[in-house]
Amino acid sequence: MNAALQAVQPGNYYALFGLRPAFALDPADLDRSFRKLQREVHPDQFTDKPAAERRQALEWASLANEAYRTLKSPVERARHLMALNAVDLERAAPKLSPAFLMEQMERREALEAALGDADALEKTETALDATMDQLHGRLIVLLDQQRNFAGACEIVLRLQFYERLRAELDRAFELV
Amino acid sequence: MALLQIAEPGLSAAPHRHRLAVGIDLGTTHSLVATVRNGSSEVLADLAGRHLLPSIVHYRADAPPEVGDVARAAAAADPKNVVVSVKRLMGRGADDLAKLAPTPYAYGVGAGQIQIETAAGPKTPVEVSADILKTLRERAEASLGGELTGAIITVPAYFDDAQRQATKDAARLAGIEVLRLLNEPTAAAIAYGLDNGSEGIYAVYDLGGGTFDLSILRLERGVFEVLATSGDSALGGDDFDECLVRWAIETAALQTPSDTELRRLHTAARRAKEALSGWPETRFQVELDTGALDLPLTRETFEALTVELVQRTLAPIKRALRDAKLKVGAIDGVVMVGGATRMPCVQRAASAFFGKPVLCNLDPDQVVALGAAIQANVLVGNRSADDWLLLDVIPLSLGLETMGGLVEKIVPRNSTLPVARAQDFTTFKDGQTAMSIHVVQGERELVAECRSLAHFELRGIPPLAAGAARIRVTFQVDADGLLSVSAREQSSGVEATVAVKPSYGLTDEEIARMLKESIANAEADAAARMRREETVEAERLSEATEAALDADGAILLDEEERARIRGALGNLRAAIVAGDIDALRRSSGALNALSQDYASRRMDAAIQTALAGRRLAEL
Repeated sequence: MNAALQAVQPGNYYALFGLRPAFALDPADLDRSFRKLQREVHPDQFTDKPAAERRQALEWASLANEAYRTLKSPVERARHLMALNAVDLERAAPKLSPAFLMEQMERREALEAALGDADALEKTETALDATMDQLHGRLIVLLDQQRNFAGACEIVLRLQFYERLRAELDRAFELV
Repeated sequence: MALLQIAEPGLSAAPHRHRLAVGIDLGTTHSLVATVRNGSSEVLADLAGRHLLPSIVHYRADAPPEVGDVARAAAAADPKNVVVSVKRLMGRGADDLAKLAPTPYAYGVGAGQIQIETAAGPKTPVEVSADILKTLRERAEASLGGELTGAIITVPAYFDDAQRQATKDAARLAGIEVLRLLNEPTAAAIAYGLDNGSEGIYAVYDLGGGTFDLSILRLERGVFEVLATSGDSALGGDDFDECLVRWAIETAALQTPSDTELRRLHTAARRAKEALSGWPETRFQVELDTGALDLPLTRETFEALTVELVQRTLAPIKRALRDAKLKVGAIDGVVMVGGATRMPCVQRAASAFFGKPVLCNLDPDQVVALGAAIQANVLVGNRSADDWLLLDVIPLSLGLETMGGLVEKIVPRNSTLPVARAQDFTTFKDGQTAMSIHVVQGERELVAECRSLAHFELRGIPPLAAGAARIRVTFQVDADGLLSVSAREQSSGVEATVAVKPSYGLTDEEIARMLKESIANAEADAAARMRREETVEAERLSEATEAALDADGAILLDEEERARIRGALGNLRAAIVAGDIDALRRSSGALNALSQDYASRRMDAAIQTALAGRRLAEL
């Protein structure tokens, strides 16, 4: 990675966009900063520039896209925030309750029963989204208000399970 | 060649030259070239006033190929040497041939890629496309009265890496500097967006001769952001013709028609289809070896025959909406693009699905080229005050082959471009110094069901114990949707060399060979072109450095740095003026090396000021 990338702290996506590091994030603020940054660095702004500058623009624009994608996704945003605070989710390895694992199995069964039925899939999805939204609310409290990173670990882990379920739902919708 | 305009040192950069840039729509059935003149985008016509160039090439034994209407006229008489719909073969391999509709040509296979046997020798789809592009380039240069600075070539949004690379190769072969590959629906959206000055979320429904694309875009404050794209790269107007040909053969109980007859049947089918867009009934008329065939055909019958084709466009729409996380109701407008959207049944289906009337006030045949020309004009620097930013996506996921022929996704489809992903690998055996990586594109879980893009061979890994080496491989997809790969061993910092074996595309050597062959035994011309390309790059470097020094050289560089860069810049200018290619290479290299760090500082400063809401000039 070149000198410029380090100077602007490529590892801190909040700083890259000039945003305050918090889990609660106004999507409009993120969009605005992202576009402002892309206007400066997108390769299309460099077509008549020398090769070295074009290459640099490519790296920068790729970084901006990656940062935008990360901050846009609640679960990845939480992980990024934890990494910035030196919390290693893998090492923390929080335990998930048997009740949660049981609920996971039930949801998975519901998904399987809904396969091929667009309406049933829609219902499964709505329920899943509501659960995930609730957990996002908990993360605002834990991360932004209490700065309880250890407590947030478990929520993030749960969200990761739900994200996987959501990806399976996406595939199921394609087969309807 | 145009005279160089050089500003006096210390004065502002060279006076603005208007650069000639065009947008080219390289279509399945026809191609167009457009440019921006006097502030508005227009399609360029040939001497006879025709805008559309049929994408048809006629190869002859001892004469140059004929392209366009003349080639079409020869199709019935010489079907084996007249290549049509070559876009369907771009980036395709021998194993794809079985899936294609029957064609009259004889195919050969050279180095894994398709070749068409013609009277002028075997031709790859890239070479055929290059002949079409050459015709368009000549048309543009004749019409604009000068050499082109560059062109945007449009591709279906759903084209994979191999198809994109093939398109870019064809342009290189035709002597065109490609500013950018632009997705067809995105180009159409630019033409529409700027005309209507609209903001909101739009769906672009693009049914061309051979491909279907569906893109969902958000237009907001000068940003065109593609949210998702989807499609079918083997579905288009041609398939509707094919349906009618089969119907005619069945209805008239024809015994295996000859190649010539098939060509005539296709022409008759296309005519009948076009007539039915305007009238409720027509006649399917064709001259066969056994006599004339004349069948009545109603729009109702035609729509019943093709209902399945129209239905096939709905699944990609649903997929794109899901990927964009949007409901149908969120779409503010539906833009229709491509000649095949003239069919009333297609317009009805799109309108019914989205629950609103569709927009088709711009000519669906021209809108892609018009939009591409507008973007090309911006990219060569003929910018207006309020220019816009275009953010597109990768249409299909990129993945790697893992154990058991499974695919591990590294870049999911609909990621915003450009995108870079790093993946760490390790060695399997003690002392292993090379490894092979297989990159595929597609959504399926099995390698065999995805498209193979390339085998990368990593060499020069330092010999270590098994599992000790950490090789970080970076996959970079640029704004054109094209992949490149680099690799580095993490513990030693050794740069592994990456040798690419494209599964279907051309290697650089093949391009060089074709270039040489295409410029009939004139090595001098090839050398001249290379010199010209290097001179253009050197001019860019000189202009950009001058402009940078004027803008912020006093702030970002100390006196000594400034003097060194000025010195190198002077040498480069002298080399450009003298036309001394060796000196030009040397001084370009020297200036590049000197200004690398300066360029980084400028980028850095630009970003920080942009985010702080200030412009660099205010610092």
